[in-house]
Amino acid sequence: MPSKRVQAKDRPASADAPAVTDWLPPTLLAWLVPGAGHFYLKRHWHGVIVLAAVAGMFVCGLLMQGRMYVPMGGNLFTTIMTYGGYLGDLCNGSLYLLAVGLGYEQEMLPGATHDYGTKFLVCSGLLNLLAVVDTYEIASGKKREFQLPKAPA
Amino acid sequence: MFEPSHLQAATLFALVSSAVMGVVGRSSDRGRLRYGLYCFGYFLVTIFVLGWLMRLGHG
Repeated sequence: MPSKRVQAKDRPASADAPAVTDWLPPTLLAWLVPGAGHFYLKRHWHGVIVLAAVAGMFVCGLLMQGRMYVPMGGNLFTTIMTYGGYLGDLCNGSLYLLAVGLGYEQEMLPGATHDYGTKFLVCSGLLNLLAVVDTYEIASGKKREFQLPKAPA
Repeated sequence: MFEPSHLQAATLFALVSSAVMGVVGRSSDRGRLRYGLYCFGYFLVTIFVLGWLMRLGHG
């Protein structure tokens, strides 16, 4: 009788891999609209918390007149900072696209508040990225929800 | 324009980050709540300690 390891090795890799159609729609939705991936997966309260947190932080960043990063070359530090910041901003999905599409533009201003605003805009994107990864893990079955056993009727 | 102080901005950041980390960090509702509160507490302690270190460092 073949061992379990041999059976696992002989099995095609695609047998264990989750179907793309299972995880791609909620993952894309989670990126596009913060919290929407969790709504799609029927985790409504999680979606509400993610939406409130990410959108709230993004709006605070805008109110503090934070700056959106624009990718720039130059020395290594500038490249890492601007490309990293741009990717962080981009993780906000529709919030970023909407703000930029509506013409939000902020030049570099002196003062701590504007700097905080810039960091809030990037961090809201990174928090949304966490939510996107969580959505992917739930949708692909890699994260199992712990539920208390129901009492017998 | 929204102009929070350093402490208000850092506390707001801690609150929002803890909420998201709580949601994605654990797989049971009780675990999420505890992990979120745990993160928030550690954020606040870190803010307090680093704030005092900077205050003492600057003199």
